[in-house]
Amino acid sequence: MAPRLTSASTGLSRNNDPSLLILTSLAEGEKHGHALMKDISGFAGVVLGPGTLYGAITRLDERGLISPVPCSGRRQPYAITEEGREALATALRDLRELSRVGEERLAARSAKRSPRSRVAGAAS
Amino acid sequence: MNRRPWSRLLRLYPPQWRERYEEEFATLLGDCFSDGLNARALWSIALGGLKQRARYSPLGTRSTSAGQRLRDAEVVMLYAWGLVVVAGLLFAKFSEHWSSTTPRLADSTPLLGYRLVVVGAGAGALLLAGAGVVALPDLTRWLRQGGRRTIAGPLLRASVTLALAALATLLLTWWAHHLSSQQRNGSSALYGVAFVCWATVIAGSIFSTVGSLAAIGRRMSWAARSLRRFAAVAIGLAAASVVVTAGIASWWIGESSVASTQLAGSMRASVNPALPVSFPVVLDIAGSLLALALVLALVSSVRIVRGLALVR
Repeated sequence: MAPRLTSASTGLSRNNDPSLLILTSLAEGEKHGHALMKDISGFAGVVLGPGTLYGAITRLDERGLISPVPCSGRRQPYAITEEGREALATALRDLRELSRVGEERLAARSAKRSPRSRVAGAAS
Repeated sequence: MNRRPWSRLLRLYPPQWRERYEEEFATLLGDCFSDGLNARALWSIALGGLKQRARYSPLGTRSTSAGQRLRDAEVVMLYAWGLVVVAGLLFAKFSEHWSSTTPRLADSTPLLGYRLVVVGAGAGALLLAGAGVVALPDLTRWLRQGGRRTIAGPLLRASVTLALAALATLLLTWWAHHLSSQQRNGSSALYGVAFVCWATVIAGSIFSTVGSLAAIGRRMSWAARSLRRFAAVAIGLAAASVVVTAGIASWWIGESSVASTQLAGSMRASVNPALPVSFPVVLDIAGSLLALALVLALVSSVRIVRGLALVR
């Protein structure tokens, strides 16, 4: 029996762009670095390294898509900005469009192939 | 909490990044790796540091204001000119006494090339002096506003390296005066080694000085008018780099056809009889430096032209 394919085993893993994952995580509320890592690991199954996480936080912060929230402790929480929400909505819309086109094409291909498969099956 | 394992790694990140993020990043590392860093985390931190170094460099893609992007492009041109200066010094040493080994009737192409190098180098020196004059008012204002501490480090570094270079030059010159012409030109291996060390110190001091000037330029705040004038200087330096490169290439080709002994002499050229031009090692190095300088000058010029329209 062929091994079951997973998105990771095919190399076509779910979108694991750190910036997108961080924006998605912050969409539900402000979080500091450690909380972001745990949340992202929970909902996406992606374990971001600390350098990768802070590289993405730096980029998002510089572009104004997230902003540090004033706090008294050493852990610095971040919140998504209005521009960040718009950027996330645009990115998710693009992903939905990609998903829709991919599924339509797969379905169309399956529909074309299925009569032939039936004929081949009957001949054998 | 033991922060030592990653406090050293954090030095891989540029100072500007550390000023803003170091404390919270160290807290995150303390939260996640209180039992010790694993190999994956080490790799992530180290790679992240190198990426930030690249982003914060003058050639980096960090999102900054139009003024900062223009200033960074001008700093890139400064580095390019530093390469041209080192290549020019190599050429100057290599080509000394060239006219005595070249037949007078056949020296028009090398002579033209040599004059081009002199003109390009002179123009570059004048442009840099002009940049110094342009920088004076902003520098004075910066120092009056208490910016001395910000630029003290690079200034000290540049002074020390230049002093070392001057000392090395004095020592080598003093030694050279006690040697015969033959000993100075290859028969004394010890002098040869000392000469190579001296040349390395000189090249290092030039790059270090350029790096210090670039650091000062990036730490200071500049008036838009000064940035536009620096842009003109940088474009001029790019043109001077092209002139110097064209001059050295013309001299090289001309000399190769009329006085190949000059190229194949004491400098141990790898002369290939199948090729019309010989390739001495020193000129190979100079050529490589010039090629890199021209690429940097091109990148810098394109960014300056794009950035000029945005800086008001």
